[in-house]
Amino acid sequence: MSGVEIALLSIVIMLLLIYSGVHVAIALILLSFGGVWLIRGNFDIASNMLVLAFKDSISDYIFGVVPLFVLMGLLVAIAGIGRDTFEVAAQVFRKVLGGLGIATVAANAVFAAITGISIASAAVFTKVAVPEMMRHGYTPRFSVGVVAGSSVLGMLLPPSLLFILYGVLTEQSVGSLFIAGIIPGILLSLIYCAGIMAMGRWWPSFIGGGGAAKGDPVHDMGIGEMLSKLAPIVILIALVLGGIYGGFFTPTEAGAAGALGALLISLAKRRLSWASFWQVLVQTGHTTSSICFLIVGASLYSRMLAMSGMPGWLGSAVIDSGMGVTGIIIALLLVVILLGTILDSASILLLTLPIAVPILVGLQVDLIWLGVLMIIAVEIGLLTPPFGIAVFVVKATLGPDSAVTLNDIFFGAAPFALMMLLVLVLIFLFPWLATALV
Amino acid sequence: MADDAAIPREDAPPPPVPSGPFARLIGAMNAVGTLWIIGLMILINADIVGRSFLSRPIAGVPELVAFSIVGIVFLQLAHTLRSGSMTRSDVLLNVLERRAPRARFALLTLFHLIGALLLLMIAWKFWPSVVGAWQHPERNFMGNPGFFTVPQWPLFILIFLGIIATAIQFLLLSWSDLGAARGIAR
Repeated sequence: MSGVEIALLSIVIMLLLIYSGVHVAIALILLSFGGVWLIRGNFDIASNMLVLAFKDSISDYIFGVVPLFVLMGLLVAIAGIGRDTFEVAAQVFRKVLGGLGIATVAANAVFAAITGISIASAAVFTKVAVPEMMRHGYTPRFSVGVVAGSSVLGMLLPPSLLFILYGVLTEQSVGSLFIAGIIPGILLSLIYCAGIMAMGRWWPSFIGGGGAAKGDPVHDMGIGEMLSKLAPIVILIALVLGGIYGGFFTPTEAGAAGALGALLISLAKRRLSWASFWQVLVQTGHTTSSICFLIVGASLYSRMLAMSGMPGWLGSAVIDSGMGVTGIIIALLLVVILLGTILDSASILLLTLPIAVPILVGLQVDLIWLGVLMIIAVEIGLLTPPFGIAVFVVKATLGPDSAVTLNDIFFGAAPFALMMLLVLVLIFLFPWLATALV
Repeated sequence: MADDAAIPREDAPPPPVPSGPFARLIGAMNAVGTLWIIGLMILINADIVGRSFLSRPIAGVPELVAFSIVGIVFLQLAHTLRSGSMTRSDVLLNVLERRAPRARFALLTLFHLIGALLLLMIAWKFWPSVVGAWQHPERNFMGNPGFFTVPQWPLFILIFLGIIATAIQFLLLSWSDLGAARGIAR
């Protein structure tokens, strides 16, 4: 067998193993090892490659961002900052058609600017926003759909764990990627709001809602109370994004400063017990460990691919086929969206980028722009059945007693997945949306 | 207070593995890694403050961060696996759980055994690096000589221990899955 055939075969087996439930990192390590062993016909070369990857693939300053931003995201979730933001947004948008839906999107967008994990957003806002919306007569499907839909903002607006992963895999600046996510994130939020208003007008049976709940004394927060509720999140956003954008902080330092800031805020709000703090730390460690072990596997996989000569072969095959850069990128995004129906976001990036990036670099594609496209395409997968992690998190957070089924959530989130697709097309057509601020 | 404590779980509840000395050991390793994250946060913030306000940056922070992240990951890897947080796709496994529970456990026995054997092989191949770094610290370090260096042998020992612990955890999982598969057969 030639190197290319071995590489293609190992990708097929890898997809099968991952789908059957082998831990993703183990599948990557195993098939890369087997692939190199076959390509070189030498056990020692293959096993030394494994040893080298364990030593050097995560031993780098940039990986410090992973635990720090995860810690920050979990701390702000526990500090009740999501609830405070939602309460203020709910009051601001009370008079608008579909107001609580818009408030959920707005609060999620602001919250996303201090958290880098969509599942944190989905969990927090399922607790905070769904009961409130159902109490005001919104349909259950719309209530959970808007929460699942807007949770993707957590990964698009910086800081974002997926941008960190993308930056590491493609050797792009994580700081630039964060900045590139800002306009697309705001654009997606605005399109969500417009979509909710449009559905409120032309498809009211889907969203329901409107009137205030009966017997509900309207409590108006004064300007002062609203400001004091928003102050912590504004300070954190200024610290993290201002620090990166102003050039004071590397992304790792911004993560450390943000995590410390979130810790101090949750202590000041007296919402952090020793038990919950320890739980947050352990959760942070597990997420870090799981992500970084994936990165070890991914680096092995790209070394195996490089040895097989497969990216070069695929590159010339694709160019000979006359698809052109546009065609290649569209094909890549379609593959990513399709994979999103069965795999989680990180695995998709790990599997596709090592193949696609060498080809696209040769064609001088802007990798920052591509990063934004990839992240949105991957995130559509959070909302699509059968495997949509944001939907699963909403369902798990609702608890076993809830009458809302997984199907309801997938159905409710579908309009939002379509709006993401629209934003994906817009950024594809107008690359400056992603690159203007960088 | 508690209602906002929505700590997202990425995966299913922990698998039923009997606790014992080994569970306590990886629990302790996990706790050290957990405290290390706090240490990392404090170190970087101390550097920011020292650099910005006292004009006294801390030497070697990038090396220490690179060192720390590897230490944290490998100290916590076994516990991550045990708690079910290691990334995997459970689409097929969930289908099998309803339709063919025995096949599911048989599959898991095999998968976990593969994980164990793969990691044991890596540990076996990794050991010479540990010995080499211990015997020749002058050749095995991180950083720039004359400015700031940190020896690599403590890190290599942590990686080695982390791989071994994770391999043992895979073996235990495989063993308990095998038991579950046979339990269903009866």
